Amino acid sequence: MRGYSALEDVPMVIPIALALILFFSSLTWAINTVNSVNRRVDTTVATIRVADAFAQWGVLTGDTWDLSCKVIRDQEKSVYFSAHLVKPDDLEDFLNSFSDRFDLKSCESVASRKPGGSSVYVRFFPVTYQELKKGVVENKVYFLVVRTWPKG
Amino acid sequence: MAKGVATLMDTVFLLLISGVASAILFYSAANYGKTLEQQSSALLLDYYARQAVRVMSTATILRPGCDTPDYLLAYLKEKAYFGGLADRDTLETIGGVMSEIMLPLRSAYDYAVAIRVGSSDDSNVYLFAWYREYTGGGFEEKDACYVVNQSSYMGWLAEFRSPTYSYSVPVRFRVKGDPDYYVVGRLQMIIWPAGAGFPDPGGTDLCN
Repeated sequence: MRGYSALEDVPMVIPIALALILFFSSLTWAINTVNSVNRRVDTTVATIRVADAFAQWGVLTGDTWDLSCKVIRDQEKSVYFSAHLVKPDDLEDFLNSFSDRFDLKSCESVASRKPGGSSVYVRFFPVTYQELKKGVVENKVYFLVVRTWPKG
Repeated sequence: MAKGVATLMDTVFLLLISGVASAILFYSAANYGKTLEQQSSALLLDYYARQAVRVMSTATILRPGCDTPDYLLAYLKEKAYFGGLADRDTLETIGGVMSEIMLPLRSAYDYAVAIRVGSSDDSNVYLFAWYREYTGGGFEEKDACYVVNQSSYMGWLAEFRSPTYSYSVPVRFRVKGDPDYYVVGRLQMIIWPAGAGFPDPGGTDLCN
């Protein structure tokens, strides 16, 4: 009788290894994709939360902006954010530079990491802001620009 | 020989199973991402429509011939009271505010404002639209206004083949002749991707 040699099983080891590598690589990729998508959705929801803190007043004034800023800074813990009130005419300049020369008001969370790269999420929404000019009250269309970026 | 063939078949089956499992994982993850991306965009656009309606209902304008601002909504309610809501003046007045509100989305989305005066099926719905139409040489920007009844309006909304994003708020309108009587209507904003077409709401374009 011919003896058994372990070398007879060597050819099977290679395809098993290949199969396992293929499967676990796909699994890792799928898990990373799902996590990345979930983070993106969480950021979207956080952006709307921040925007709504200011927008829910109906008409924004200087006082309601400051109050909303205080509230959302205390409450929003899942992401870092900055919110800016920008005139429609200045919107493009602001988005090009994010300079405070172009925003009327701003509100930022206390962030240990500055925004940068592809992880920053920027969205803008129309709001009404009350202006007082020569004793006349006007509710003008402004834009609320909200930037969010993940912690860690 | 037989053992070699058996080994080969085992190898093939193993790789096949592994490949199918990997393909299923890839497809599921990609599909999950695509679905959530669509839902995420829809959430943001619905919120944008909500903000647009809020701004429309609180913004002030300078009425033609006046130098003191008044609420846009007061102007619309007054025109509805006197029955003259669907005209070029109203279209341009609302259009001025809407072009500011829609500034970031104007290049990619068309939009409409519907003012429903009352809640019954035969209530008038005043529809103001700003959209792009393909005319052979390219896309042409158009605006229009119509008066339709509620059921025609609902049919018009249902005819959209592309996704629409909308929000509405209740608004009270006074009825002419009875100072104590109000009807409750709605102010609605509808946004849809540009180039998706503009279904005919029926009736005549009263602004062109």
